[in-house]
Amino acid sequence: MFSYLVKRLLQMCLLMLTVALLAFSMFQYLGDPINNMLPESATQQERIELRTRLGLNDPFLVQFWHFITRICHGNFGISYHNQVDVFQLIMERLPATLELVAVSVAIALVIGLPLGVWSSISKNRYLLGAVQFLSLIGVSLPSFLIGILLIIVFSVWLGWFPSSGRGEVVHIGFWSTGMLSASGWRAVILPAVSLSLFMITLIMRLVRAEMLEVMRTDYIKFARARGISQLRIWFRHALRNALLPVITIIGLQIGGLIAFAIVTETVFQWPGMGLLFIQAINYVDIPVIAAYLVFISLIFIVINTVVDLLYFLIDPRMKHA
Amino acid sequence: MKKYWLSFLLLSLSCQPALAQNVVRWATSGDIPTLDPYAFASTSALAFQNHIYEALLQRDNDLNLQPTLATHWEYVNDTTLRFTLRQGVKFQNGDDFEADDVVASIARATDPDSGVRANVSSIKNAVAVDKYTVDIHLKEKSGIALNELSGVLIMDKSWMAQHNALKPTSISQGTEGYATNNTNGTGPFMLESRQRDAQMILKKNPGWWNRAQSQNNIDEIIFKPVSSDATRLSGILAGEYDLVTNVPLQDIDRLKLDPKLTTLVSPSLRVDFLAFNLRDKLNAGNTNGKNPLQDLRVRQALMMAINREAIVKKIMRGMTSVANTYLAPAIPGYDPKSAIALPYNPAKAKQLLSDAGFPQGFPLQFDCVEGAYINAPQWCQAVQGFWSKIGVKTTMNVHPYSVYNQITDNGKTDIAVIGWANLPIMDAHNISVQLLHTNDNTGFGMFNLPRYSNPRVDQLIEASLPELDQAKRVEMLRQEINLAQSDLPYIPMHFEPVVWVVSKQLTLKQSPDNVVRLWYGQFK
Repeated sequence: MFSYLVKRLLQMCLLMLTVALLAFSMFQYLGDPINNMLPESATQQERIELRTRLGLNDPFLVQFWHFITRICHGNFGISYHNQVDVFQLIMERLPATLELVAVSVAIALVIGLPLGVWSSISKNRYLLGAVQFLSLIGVSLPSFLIGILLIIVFSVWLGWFPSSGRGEVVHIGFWSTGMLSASGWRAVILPAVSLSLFMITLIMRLVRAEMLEVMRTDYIKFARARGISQLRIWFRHALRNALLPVITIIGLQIGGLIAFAIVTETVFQWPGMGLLFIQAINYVDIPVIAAYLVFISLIFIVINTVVDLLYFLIDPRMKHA
Repeated sequence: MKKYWLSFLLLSLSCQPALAQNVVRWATSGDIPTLDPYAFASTSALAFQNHIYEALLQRDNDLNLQPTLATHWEYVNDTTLRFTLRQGVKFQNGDDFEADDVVASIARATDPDSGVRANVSSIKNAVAVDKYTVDIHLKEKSGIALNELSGVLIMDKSWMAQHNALKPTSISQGTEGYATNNTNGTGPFMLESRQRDAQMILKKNPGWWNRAQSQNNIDEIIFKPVSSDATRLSGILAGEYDLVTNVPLQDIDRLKLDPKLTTLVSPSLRVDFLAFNLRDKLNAGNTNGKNPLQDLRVRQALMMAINREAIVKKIMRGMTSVANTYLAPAIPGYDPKSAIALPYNPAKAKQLLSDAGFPQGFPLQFDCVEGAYINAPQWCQAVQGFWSKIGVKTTMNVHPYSVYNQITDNGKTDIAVIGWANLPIMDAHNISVQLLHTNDNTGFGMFNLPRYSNPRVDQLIEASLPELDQAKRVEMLRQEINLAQSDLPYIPMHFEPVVWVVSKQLTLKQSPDNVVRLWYGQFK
């Protein structure tokens, strides 16, 4: 177990370094932030000075080396566009993204799980077909389109929810939360729904497949023979056993949601990390882009490691593998 | 779980903000990256900061310079301007506004790390004469010092000292600024809260020195950046905003039908240009051993081949007008009599090409930019179509702004796009020095993409710089721009339209510099 952990840690470092290198080599094609930073009336001299001060004239490997050493000191630099510490900027945005993801996971679970159970036991072929068909649409429509559709229906036509923003925010220490105000809740619903559609479908289909498999096993048959109630069999015996792979997938999906909330955040002007990233690309804000990529890969790696470690705990056979 | 929901509900009820009376909910496409007025010299940032901070003198709703924090000024000698400051003005934290604040502000704006340094190029320093008198020393005799000073928003010295913000933020040295997220100005509004990329709330400054004279009755401004065009439009339609700047042109017709909204559309100060490559070699390869663009007849032919009326009508949706001069009418130096008279005439254009020795046309490399100028990729494509009809074949690439600038900086293009508004100083000085003077790598001709050079033009520009007599100075610039216009290094296309959508409740005057001045705003 310990040697495995050390090995994982080493792999993590190597992977992060690779991500950083890849991210950094992409910057060569992004262009130059200077024109976004200086007024039109700046002279050639001022441009050259700024470029030199930002280290943009250094050779690629030197720039990369500076970047890595600074990160190792926990210093991600100053955002060119926002002019504040990048780490602070990401920390400022993290709560918004995490809350959005948490709410959409909750929505996905609350809708996806029962729907999956229902679709595995329902005898209504037509309704079943309809739900399966709808879920296909949910998976295949691009999320910006879903977002815009939701906005048109629920903000423009019905006026139930705001089209953008995060509503009223309460600060608790370094954390800012929209979960303590009515306007915050109203604001989170549409983006969370649009983000969760894919996951609802995924969970539903996964639960259905697993349930169908579990329902065929002997212990379910025995349970039936013992006269245990149908509901108890479905939710207590079958669903519990069907959930293990679902939990794994959800774990992996959360990382994906955090990273790919970019589109949803842009459509709904949700002030999270995804929006920050898009803007950073627009303004060639290299410190922010680099930090974001490193940060997201860290989240992915950590989640994957945790999932792997959970296998160790859950499945004793892994210890000898 | 039910209990939690209940407590959430109670909490959320208690968190409802008290409703202010006249609230302007203002949405636009991007956030103001920093509230520090010396960090970035962008027109939109300055326009927003101008609600909180004020300058010694400022443009009013009709774009005339008016005394603001100074009541009076005069030239003591050629390089010294003496300002008499307004008495009784207080900063929003209660500090008095005095000469020391002006001195500290000028020092900060001209600091090597200041982002607006280029906009105060003529200013050397400021020295306090007494509590309410300041001498501003210029580097040399300059006719644009007052224009430049109108962009220097005055900050409070003791507040800056207290928060270690006497020097501007330096990205390269990794110093952050207190002034990035906090403000303390003398202006009509003060910052209540700021959530980056979500919203900023400004409250009325009850102690504003000009409150008594002002008609303005706005209590609160909620500023919301919404970057997605579709979302912003939905927000307007849903009635979530009272003022929207940066509205996509294609949506205006639909918004005009909304009875709750007024659409304000007018040509701005910004002229969009096509720039010719006048170097000896074309990037697309010379024809018959020479660069055809060096021939004036060819440039005239290329201008006549473009149906600019059609572009304004179709692509700019009729919301602006064709530009036949390099300057907008509001800029001093504008001369309607010297307008370029090369209207759409493809037959004449073909004739001119033949006269110049290129009856079969020639190839050109055309680089356009996305996101910097309104609908530029579309009108670039239209131009490409018009030119192909007279035999000029262009290969066109559309680039993001950051990449595009590297291409134009290095002259890696034959036809480039550039927009020029002459802001913030609102003077022909700006275009003359940056676009029309020979590029000499020291500061002149920085954006002279064509590498155009006319000694007489250079001479007139240089002579105008130290001229303090406004009439004489403007006359020199007028002559110089007329000369350049007849040489045609750039084709003026049209003025960029300014498009705002305003709630019927709110009265607001739109100005061609695209600056929102809510301190003139009024609710019915």
